[in-house]
Amino acid sequence: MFEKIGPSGLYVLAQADHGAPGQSGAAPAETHAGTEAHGGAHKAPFPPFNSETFAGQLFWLAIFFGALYLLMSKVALPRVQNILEGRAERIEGDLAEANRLKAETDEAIASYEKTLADARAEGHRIAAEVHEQVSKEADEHRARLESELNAKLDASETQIADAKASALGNVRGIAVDAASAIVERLTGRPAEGGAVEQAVDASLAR
Amino acid sequence: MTQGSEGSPTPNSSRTDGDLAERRERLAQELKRRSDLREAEDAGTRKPRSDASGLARALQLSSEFVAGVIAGGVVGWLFDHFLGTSPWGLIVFLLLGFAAGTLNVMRSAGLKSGPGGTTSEGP
Amino acid sequence: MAAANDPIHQFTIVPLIGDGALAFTNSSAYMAATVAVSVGFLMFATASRTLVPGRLQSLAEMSYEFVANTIGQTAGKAGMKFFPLVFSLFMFVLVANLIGLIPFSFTVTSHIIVTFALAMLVITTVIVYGFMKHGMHFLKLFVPSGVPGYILPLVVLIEVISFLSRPISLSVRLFANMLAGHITLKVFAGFIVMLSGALGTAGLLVGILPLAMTVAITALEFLVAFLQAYVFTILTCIYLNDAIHPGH
Repeated sequence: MFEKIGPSGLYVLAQADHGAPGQSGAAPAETHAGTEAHGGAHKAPFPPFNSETFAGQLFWLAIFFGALYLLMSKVALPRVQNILEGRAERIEGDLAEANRLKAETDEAIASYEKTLADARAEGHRIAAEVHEQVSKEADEHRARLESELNAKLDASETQIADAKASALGNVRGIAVDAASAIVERLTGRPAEGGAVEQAVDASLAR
Repeated sequence: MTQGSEGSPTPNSSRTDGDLAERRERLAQELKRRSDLREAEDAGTRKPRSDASGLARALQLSSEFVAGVIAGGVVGWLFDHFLGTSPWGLIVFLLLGFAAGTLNVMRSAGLKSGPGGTTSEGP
Repeated sequence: MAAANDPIHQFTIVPLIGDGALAFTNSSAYMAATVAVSVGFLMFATASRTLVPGRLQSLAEMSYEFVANTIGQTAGKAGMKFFPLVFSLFMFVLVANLIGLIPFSFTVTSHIIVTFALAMLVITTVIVYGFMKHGMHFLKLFVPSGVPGYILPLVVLIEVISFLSRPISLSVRLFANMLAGHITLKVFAGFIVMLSGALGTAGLLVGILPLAMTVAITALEFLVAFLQAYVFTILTCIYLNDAIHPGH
């Protein structure tokens, strides 16, 4: 409101209240001859030391500074604080989130590596197992084949032995018959059965 | 043949693995740096005020001495005024004010510790 | 024009509304403007409450953190309960100083009574809080440790005077700087007018010199306006620190 009044206007008002300043040669007195009339002897003090204005200034300062303090502490500062705290919390939260995610990643990677190692071990195990099983089966197979072959071999051998035995049996009969026939022809009379058989057996046993 | 089919994906996967590991490493470093910074901030809340701008300090010094003398003068004048010892109170207290002014200057220049044996910088 | 050249006239107090000792004066108006600008600035700057601050908002946050850091560095965490007071003082002094730099305006802080009242507010706070918090223990502030007994009364007397000189140095410094700065500005600005008026065209050329000076001093005054507010704030914090920790 008071900006409308020009500075020189204020000065004239001041002159009317306190008389001529007179403490500075820069202000020619004749400009304000009219106000000088009742000023005269009493000089206006240097404004900042003019104790007449102290009470008023203190009064208004108390009011306005009190208002400033109230507005600052109750309205303005809590707002700024809210903003700053909000941001600090947000940053804190983001950092915590980043830390958490990093821990999660580390965990995931660790578990991935563990799984990988497990899988590898499992693979090795399975491979060993399969290898073992296969070799065992092969062994079994071979053993079975061998035993079969052995059985067949045994059978063949007994057969051969039988054949040999029967063949040998036939040979005795033939030899007895032949010997009996030879003896009959040589002697002219049938050989005694028992003696021939004994002689054949004796020669066969030899 | 088996060698070849295994060979081609290996460098590719190791590259992305290396990339990932590197990025994780960077992330870890960054996070550590920030938490360190935070701790330093917490610890540094009571840094000495030596970083107060020098100009501000020079301005501060300029009036400390005068203020001491004025304070001494005022106390001396009041002393005389109420006890009627003029001019002795004024003289004595002006001298004391002189000493107080010197003390003020020394104190704000950081040459002497603050009142009560404490430094103004705190413990 | 001649009246405006008087370097003292800018400090004159004029009643605007009412009359008598408690009239609403130009000083009161500028105090009101200071409060309005300080609060208005903070409110306007924080109106949008964005997470990533704009220019104004970061200025408001900077002022907040600046004062908070100053308190933290000088008085520690316990000093934070005085934050609104210190911040109000800082803003009041700073804004009043800056408003005073606008041509043709009135500087609230160029009146000793205003700065003295602000300084007394600080010292009163220190004394009242010191006695409330520490009782008689607060008086230890005046008893330096490690001083021989026979010299102690003298030292205590000097310490008391030193303590009493605080509001004086606090207020005189601010007041004198503002007063001297504005008078200097006015005198140099007056030179320009005088020279150009007296010497005509040649005067205009010569007048460039004081003009340059005026510009330089104005820049300096901006710095001083800020520095004085800063010094006022930091000393307030140091004195408050004495109330919080009087002699360990």
